[in-house]
This record gives sequence, C-alpha cells and structure tokens, in this order.
Amino acid sequence: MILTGIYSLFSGLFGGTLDSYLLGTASALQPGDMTWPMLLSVLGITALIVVLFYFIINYPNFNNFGSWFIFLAINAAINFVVGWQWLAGHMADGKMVSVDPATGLHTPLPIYENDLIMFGVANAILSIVLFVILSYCVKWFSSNCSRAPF
Amino acid sequence: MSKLFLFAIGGTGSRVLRSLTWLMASGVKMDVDEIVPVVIDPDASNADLTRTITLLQNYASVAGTQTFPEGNPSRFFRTGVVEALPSFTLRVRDTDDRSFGRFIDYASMSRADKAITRMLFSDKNLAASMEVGFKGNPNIGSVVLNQIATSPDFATLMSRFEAGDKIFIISSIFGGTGASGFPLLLKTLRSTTAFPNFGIINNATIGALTVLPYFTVFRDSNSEIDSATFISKTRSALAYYENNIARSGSINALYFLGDEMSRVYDNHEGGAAQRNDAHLIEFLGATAIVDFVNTVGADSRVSKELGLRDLKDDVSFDSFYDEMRRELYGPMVQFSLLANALLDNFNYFSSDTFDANNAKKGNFSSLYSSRFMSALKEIASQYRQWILEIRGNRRSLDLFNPEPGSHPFDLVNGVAPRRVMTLASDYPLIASRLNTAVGKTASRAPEARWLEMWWRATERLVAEKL
Repeated sequence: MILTGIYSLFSGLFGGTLDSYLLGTASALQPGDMTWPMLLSVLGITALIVVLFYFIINYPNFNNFGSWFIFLAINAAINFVVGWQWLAGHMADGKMVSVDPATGLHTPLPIYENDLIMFGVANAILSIVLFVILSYCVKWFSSNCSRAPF
Repeated sequence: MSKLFLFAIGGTGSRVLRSLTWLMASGVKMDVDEIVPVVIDPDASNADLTRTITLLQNYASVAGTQTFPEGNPSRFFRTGVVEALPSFTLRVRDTDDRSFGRFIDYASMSRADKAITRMLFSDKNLAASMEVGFKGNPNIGSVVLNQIATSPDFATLMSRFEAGDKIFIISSIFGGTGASGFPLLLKTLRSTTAFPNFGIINNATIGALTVLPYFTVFRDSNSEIDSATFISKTRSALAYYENNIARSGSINALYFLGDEMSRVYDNHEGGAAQRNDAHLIEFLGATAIVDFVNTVGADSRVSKELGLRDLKDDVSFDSFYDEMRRELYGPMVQFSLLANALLDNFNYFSSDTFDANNAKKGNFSSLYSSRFMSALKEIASQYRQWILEIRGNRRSLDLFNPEPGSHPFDLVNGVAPRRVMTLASDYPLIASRLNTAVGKTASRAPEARWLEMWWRATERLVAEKL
C-alpha cells in the first residue's frame, strides 16, 4: 500500500484524475493497479543503469561526480520517456475514458497530453531517487568507481 | 643479508653504476640483498660521477621505504643500497691543489731518486694537475691510488664486509683512474692484513669488469686526453692483466666488454664538463654485474665476454639471447610503464578520480606530496633522460619509445601491443589493473603498498599486452 501510494505523492504534478486512472479507479477499460508494473520498470531500468555504470562499463575515468551525474541524467531521461509513452499508448488506445454504465457511452477523462508529460517527469524524479539509493548501496563493490558520486 | 661491495672506478665506473641502478630499480633479479657502491674518482666534480651519486641517493631513499613481507612479489627497488661512505665516495686525498710532482715530493728527492723518477714519469706527468683526475695516465694513478689501502675510508668500508659478501670492481682499461685503480685495489683486497676481518676479505669472491675502448674524443691540443693512445694502452694493460690477474687466479670472474669506437665525444679532461651520454657498453657492463652475483661462486675462475644474437647499429631486446632477454624484458618494461605514468599522467594518478587512492583502498592521497614521491618522480625523469641518451648514442640501445605520451603500450621497440577485450585502453586500462591490484597487496606501509600495487598491475599488463 505504501509503495502504490508513491505515485500519489506526485499527483500534484500530473493531476488527481491520472492518479485515479493509474490506480484503476477512473476507467472501466483500465481496472488494474498500474503503479506496480510502473514501479518495477523504474526499478529495473535504474538497477540496470547502476550496474552498467559501476560494474560493466566500470571505467576508471568515470570515477567522479560529473560522470555519475551523466548516467543519472540518462537514467532519468529513459524513465521519463518510458513513463510518458506508456500512458501515451493508453491514451492513443482510447483507454482514458469513463464509461457510462447505463448507456455505455465513452467520455474522455480530463487527462491531457501535459499530464502525461508531467507523469514522465514524476517517473524521472522517482528514478533519480532510486539511482542515488542504489548507487550508495553498490558503489563500494566497484573496482574502479567506488568514489562516484562521492 | 648478503652484500655486494661494488667499486666503480673512474668515469666509466660511474656510468656503469648508473646503468646498474636502472636494473635494480626495475627489479632485475639479483642474488644479493644489498649493494654497497663505492666510487673511486679523484675528479669529484665529474658530471658523470655527480649525477650517478644523486641517482643512488634518490634510489636509496625510495628503497629505504620498501618492505617485502611474505606475499609481496614486487621487485621494484628490492635490492637495497647502502651508503657506507658519504656520497658513496672513497676519497682520494691531496689531488686538488697540487701537481703530481708535488704529490710525490719530487723536489726533496735525492739525485738518484730523481733520476729513477724521471725514467718513469715525463716532465708533463710531473707537472700534471690532478684536480680532474689522472687524464689518461695510469702511471700517475698507480702511485696516487696507493693511499687507498691505508685510508680511513677504506677501513670504515671494509669493516662492514662479512662472510658471504662479494666484491666487484668496474673500471676502464684505457683511461687513467680505472686502469691503475683496478689492479691496485685487487691486490690490496687479496693481500691486506690491515683489518680484523682480513681473512674473509682475502678469500672473498671477487669479480671485475674491464671495459675496453668503445668511444673516442675529438683531438684537442689543449687536452692531455688523446684517443689515439687508447688501443696501445689497452694492449699494455691486457698483457699485465693476463700475467698478474688472470693467470694468478686472484680473480673469480673477469668480464671484458668493448665495441667499435664509432662514437666521438667532446674532449673534456674532467670536471663538470665530462658528461658523456649513456652507452650500450655501460648497460651491458651492468648486466655483467647481475651475471656475477647470480652465477659466480667462490670456486669459479672464469673470463667472460658477451655474445649478442645479431650485431647491428641498434640493439633491441631481440638482439639478446633468450636467457638474457627473459631476465631483462619483464622488469624493464614494467618499470618503464611506471616511469612513463609518473611523467605523463601524474595528475590523473594523484587525483581522487583514481580509485586506488580511495581511503578505503590504498589510502594514497597524502603520498603524492611526500618526499618518497618526489624522489620517485626524479628517478623517472632521470630514467627517461638515460633512455634518450642511450638510444641516441652509437651503437644505440634502442629498447623503448622514450615518450609514448597518451599511448603507454606503444612502448617496446619492435613489439606491437596485443588487444585486450576490455572497454578501457591505454591509461584507463592501467588504472583499472591498478585498482584491482591494490586489493591484493600484502604490504602495510603506503610507500611499499603503492609500489607493490604497481608491480602487480604492470606484471599483469606486460603478460596481457606486451
């Protein structure tokens, strides 16, 4: 419950309607809780980038704040695009509608392109927090980059 | 602790000693724990001598920080250097401010003594100043250097001699100091009874390198040095050595080295101007010392010359036979990687970006402004200078690219670096190997751990790339 509430912390950015949509309470065409798969994708992508930086690329000259920050920014950019486009796909598929149970009429929910972009931003912010946490967990084991970011 | 007492006589002695210092710094295997270098040269301001002494002092200060606990495979600076005498120098007294004639007190000799003296020494000899040495006159040197046997410096030095120690004498046969000093010193060592440990000294394993002519000097009417006399002096001295040294069995190993006299140096009698570029013969002379400590025992009676696989104007690692190549290649390439890194990439390796400096790893951050590091950088600088000199000389010792810049593996002449399947290359690859090596070091003191890290990393890199 705590984890599914994480995106709700950012509802001020992308709007309460989109927040409800994510939780599966705004549209009959999207009844499930999307926050879990979203969180897993952020975690997975971030973990991959962290492992890439510290263990696969593990480049000696990257052992500084600047290089680490570049990877953090790349990770944030990827997660921004993933979050934004994931929901853009739903919008394009016509899922962001309310369905009148009596008439079956589809009425678009008040979710706009800008909200999707702001959701991408929220995803990026979340990925930044995760990137920092994971970096501090694993950097000690890196042979060449244990001083990145500090 | 076994020691090698190494007497370096004259300018050639100093230059061979300089080359030997590079072999020791590199970690070429020597079956001795310490060397006790002793320079014998009346020309105290000789530039070849002064730079060798400075180099030895830097070497000693670095080697003094090294410990080799169980599990430390590093051979960098492993052979200790003992400064038994101030500035490693056995002083030759009463040569600065007087002529040879005054030295032997010619003026107060009887008529008969004067007559004999004039048979042995020319007017020029008697009037010769000895401030810059004996200027190619071994007849003068053989008189002046007699003082060694009774000098307090010699007594101080030989009091350190213990059973199991060895002695080696480096000299040239065509100069003044070396040609006279070597037989005199050998005779003293074999016959002296002046010291409490004279029995051990008399029966010590003794080797010597005698360097035949390998360069000439420009003719100068104002100089007493005339390279036209080098060969005739060599012939005379060789005849003496054959009868009085080789046949008498007073030496365990006698090494001979020489070359075509293709290089012409400026004609300087001595002093600060006598600064000859490093030469292949001096380097090969240093390898003779390595051979002596590793192979010659008390029962040996050998004379040795060196064979090369091929003889061209440029000598490289491929010119050496397999055993010699194996002995020299690994350590010298490893040391060259270290020296070049210090000279070309010091800013990176002393920065926080280099992970091995991390407090939780090597904790080396404070080392880079230490006396240890400044001595090491000075050694690296002198090493590069030596490489440049010896490469540019004739005959050339062309082992390394002296300035590989940002491509440290473009190092060994005739050896193309192999590819390694990593993302990192050049200096990042070196850093990566160092970062891995630092975790395996056995030493505790930061200076020793630092060099051990470099030994481990460069050993791996040479196996992988070169």
